Amino acid sequence: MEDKKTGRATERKKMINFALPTSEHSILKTIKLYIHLFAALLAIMILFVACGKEDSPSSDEPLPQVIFLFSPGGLGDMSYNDCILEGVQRFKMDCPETDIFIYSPQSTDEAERIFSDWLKRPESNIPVLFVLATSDYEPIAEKYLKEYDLTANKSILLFESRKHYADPNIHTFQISMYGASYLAGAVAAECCNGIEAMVMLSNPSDSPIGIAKDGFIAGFGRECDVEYLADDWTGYVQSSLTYQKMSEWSTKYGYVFPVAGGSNAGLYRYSREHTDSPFLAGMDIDQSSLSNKITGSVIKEIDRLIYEYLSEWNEAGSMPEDRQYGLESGYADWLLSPLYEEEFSPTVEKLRQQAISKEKEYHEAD
Amino acid sequence: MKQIEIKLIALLCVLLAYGCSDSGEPKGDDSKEWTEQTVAVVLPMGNGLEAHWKRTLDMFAANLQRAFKDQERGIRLKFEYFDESAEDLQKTAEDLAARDDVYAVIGGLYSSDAELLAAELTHAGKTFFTLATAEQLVRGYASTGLLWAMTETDITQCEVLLSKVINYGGKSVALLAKGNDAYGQTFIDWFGFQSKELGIENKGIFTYDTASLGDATRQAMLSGAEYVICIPSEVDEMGPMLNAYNVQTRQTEVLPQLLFSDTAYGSDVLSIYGEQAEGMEGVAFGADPESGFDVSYKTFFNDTPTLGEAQLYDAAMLIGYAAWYVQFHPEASLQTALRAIVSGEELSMGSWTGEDMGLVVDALARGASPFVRGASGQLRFDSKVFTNVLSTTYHNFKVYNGQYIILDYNTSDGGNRTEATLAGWNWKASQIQDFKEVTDQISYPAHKDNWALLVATSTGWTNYRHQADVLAIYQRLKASGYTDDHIVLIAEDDIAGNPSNPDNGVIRVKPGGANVYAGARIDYHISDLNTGDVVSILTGEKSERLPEVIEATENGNVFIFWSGHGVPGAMCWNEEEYAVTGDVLASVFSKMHQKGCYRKLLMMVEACFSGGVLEQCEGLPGMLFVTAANAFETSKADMFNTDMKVWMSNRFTSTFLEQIEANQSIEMRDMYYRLFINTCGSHVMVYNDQNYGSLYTSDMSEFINFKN
Repeated sequence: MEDKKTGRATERKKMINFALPTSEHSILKTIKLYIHLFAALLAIMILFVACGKEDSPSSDEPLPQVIFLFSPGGLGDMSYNDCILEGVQRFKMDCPETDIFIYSPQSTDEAERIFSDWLKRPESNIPVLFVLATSDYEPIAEKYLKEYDLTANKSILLFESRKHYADPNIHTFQISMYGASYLAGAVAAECCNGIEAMVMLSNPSDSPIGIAKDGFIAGFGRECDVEYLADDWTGYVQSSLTYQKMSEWSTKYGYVFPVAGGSNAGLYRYSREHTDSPFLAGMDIDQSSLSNKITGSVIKEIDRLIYEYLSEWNEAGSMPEDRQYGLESGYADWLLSPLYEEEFSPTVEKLRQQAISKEKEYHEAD
Repeated sequence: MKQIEIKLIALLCVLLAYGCSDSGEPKGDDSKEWTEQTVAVVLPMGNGLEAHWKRTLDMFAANLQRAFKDQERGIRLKFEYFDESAEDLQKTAEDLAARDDVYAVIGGLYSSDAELLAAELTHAGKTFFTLATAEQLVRGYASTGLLWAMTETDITQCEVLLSKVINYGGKSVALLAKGNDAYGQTFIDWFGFQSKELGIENKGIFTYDTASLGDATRQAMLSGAEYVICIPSEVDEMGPMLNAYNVQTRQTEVLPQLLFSDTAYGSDVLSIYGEQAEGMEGVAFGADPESGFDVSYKTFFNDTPTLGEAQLYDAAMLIGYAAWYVQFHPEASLQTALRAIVSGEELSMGSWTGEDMGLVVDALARGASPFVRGASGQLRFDSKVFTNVLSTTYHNFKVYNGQYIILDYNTSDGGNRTEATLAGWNWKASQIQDFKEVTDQISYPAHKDNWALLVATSTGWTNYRHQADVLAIYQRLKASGYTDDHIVLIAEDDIAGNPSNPDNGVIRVKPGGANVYAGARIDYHISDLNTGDVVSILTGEKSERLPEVIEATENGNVFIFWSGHGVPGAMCWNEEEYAVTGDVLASVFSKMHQKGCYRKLLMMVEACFSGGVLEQCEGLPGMLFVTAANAFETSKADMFNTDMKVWMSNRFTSTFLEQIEANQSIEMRDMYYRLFINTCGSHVMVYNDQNYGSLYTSDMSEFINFKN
């Protein structure tokens, strides 16, 4: 725990460093040092102020709140959503004075109700950030933001969206998986040795996973079959279905690239229990331990990103507007499983720059 | 200058660690009025486990404090820790039971320890939350209303382990478990039943004691099973298992895979066995993944929760809520408050975090009744006795690179529970015997009278239930019109006046139930008869020794109810184990048939392995046999009385009585169906139905509700 805290403090220090101009000049160095000192002292003061509020309900300054709406049935996926929660809890460790309400609704209807109820709440002096932690909530945001204005002290952060909102208190970001998936596709092409590959997607309406699909196919170098598990978010919670389908897919494909959140677990389970399993990709976090058929994982450092967004909101009251991150930024990457590292590392290193370029081209053309 | 900067950064880090810890000591708040309650925590403290319990409860304490931030008063729990593994656990239990200042006790990770604690604490009226999982513990102390089991019983765990075998394509399985042990016994009792349910070949149950652990393990490895399910009762027992497996690995080509139960999941296991545990796989109860508890725990503590930490957190949380509830309902006991908390049906108020707990605290203060969830999932308990949590998440774990990884999760379907202490598995309709409607109806002579032979074949206080059940049936028959001269009642009659009986002259099948001994006319003591006498009684051969016999003719229906012990292949008679075998009984029935001593005969047997005896009696017309268990199963007791320290009834009989009291004309087929569904732990079997007539058109009124 101590290590984690120390690590986090260092992380924050790095962020501050990035914010400052760098120069080799000694005067500038001295100025920089003073700025560091000032920043450190300021941070301590902020901490004293922020952390000292917890037991002072009579304080004039209201305590901030974060309402976190995970995707339906999302938590516990051992993947993207759990990774988000890790970042949120890291933030909570550092700023315990902030109330964080975590909701993992059972359906989009329930999510819609929670979000619309919040939007309808009257103006308050409590700063509240409402986090919609999946692009599935984009239509909900669209719908209700047409009906209701954000009152003072309310902010929204929408995950995995490219939309730009005129209201400066509505923020979006997206981590593109194109480049990382491109590298996954290249590795899959070597694994398949001429056999077909398949892309398994949660649903056709979720744009970030469509980007992953395009990246994989581009890296694979030829067309792949694409299977959608459902028409909506329920495609993320179909592990039993994918487990059953794998007996059929195993006879047809040499590689399955799954982008379906918790549904991926069915594939990994099948591959542990059956020797005929095709090769697989892990998704969102390093999942190499779940099956020796996982050649590598498309990872998203969503925990780090959400930690940084929350910290910035908590300290400065604002966040970056619509942003896109990808392979080049380091928030997305392709991480080879230890079992396959030696075999495919040269391919991945050789193609990394190409993947970054392809990702840029893809989004510029978008 | 650089050094100053480093010092300042270091100071910043210290402040971060100190001031913003989510898991540290709760901060004081003198402006509030706090009510503090003492909770004793009795859990194993060695091998690093103490740190786990303490940090979880520290985190809970901080969250509980946060939960009251909008209230003018609040609840604090003060935890006192005791080592479950200490030699003087009995004394600890007695001390805690005697302490008035102890509000509640949480503990008993191991089933035998939990049983010891439950005996003392519930007797003293102390609320006891346990993390242990043995079925006997739950069934034994459920009726006290003071035991709160935070997991489902190991009936479910056994099923989950077997389902893993199926998932891996296994066709055969063996069980390795400690005999004469509360924890191992649940698996021993249920393994045969569940493997049949799931269609896996049972290659044997290998039981061990401390001395025979290595040998039993080797035998299990050589059993030919593809999978061996290992049930170490203590962590220390895993070493010989792993060693025996490794030796066997070198000696045989075909190796079984090992699957371990929850004892194998824990930080103590990894610290003790290190690399030896690498690759070990099994099943353990844990947090509900949707609660985010495990992810949060790892983030806060850079460690994986050990077995039971989520349940420990939830137990403390329920106690905290209940103590808060009592603030607004001073008349309520802790038990009443707990029942109210877990019965909340209003809007779900989140889960285990401080913010979520605050929502529940605020709701309770408003007089609302929120639906409560915790780190381990929904905190719903059976509505009869509020003993067993209804849903437990089982983690399929594997040791990988020196750490536990979770491969997937399993949860039983709580909606299938029909009784308070039953595990909720999906009954498979295909497992129920399919009775083809017999179109060629057997013709019977006119029905003119009824006779009944009721036999309790055991003696002694500890076998209370057998005589109690037989007497309950006797009372049922009397109430339905039987007269004593048409009932032959055989029982030792050493219960009502037994020195252990706190209620002299009274026998009941459930606490507060009717006295089934009242007015009973017992014809023979079991110790005065031998099995040969049964032949005479059933065939109507009166003598000076046997003045009361069944004098049925071809117009008389005969109902036999038999309750006692059984062993594979035989039913016991008093101390004689192999007294009534299938051969013996078949010859009795054959003689009855030859002499025309019955019109229809229904024999119901409540005894372990009874199916193996009655299946040998098939072939004679007009007879129907219903047994509580098949040839390979034990049958199960029901309704433990903690004051009397005895089981008061058996599940098969209590279900039978419930059914005929509800409908004395229930069709035979429906009777069988209801017995099958409700008799948990063994397969109710029916034999000789093809020689009896349609079970759809004959009903129990022919035996129960007939007026003599």
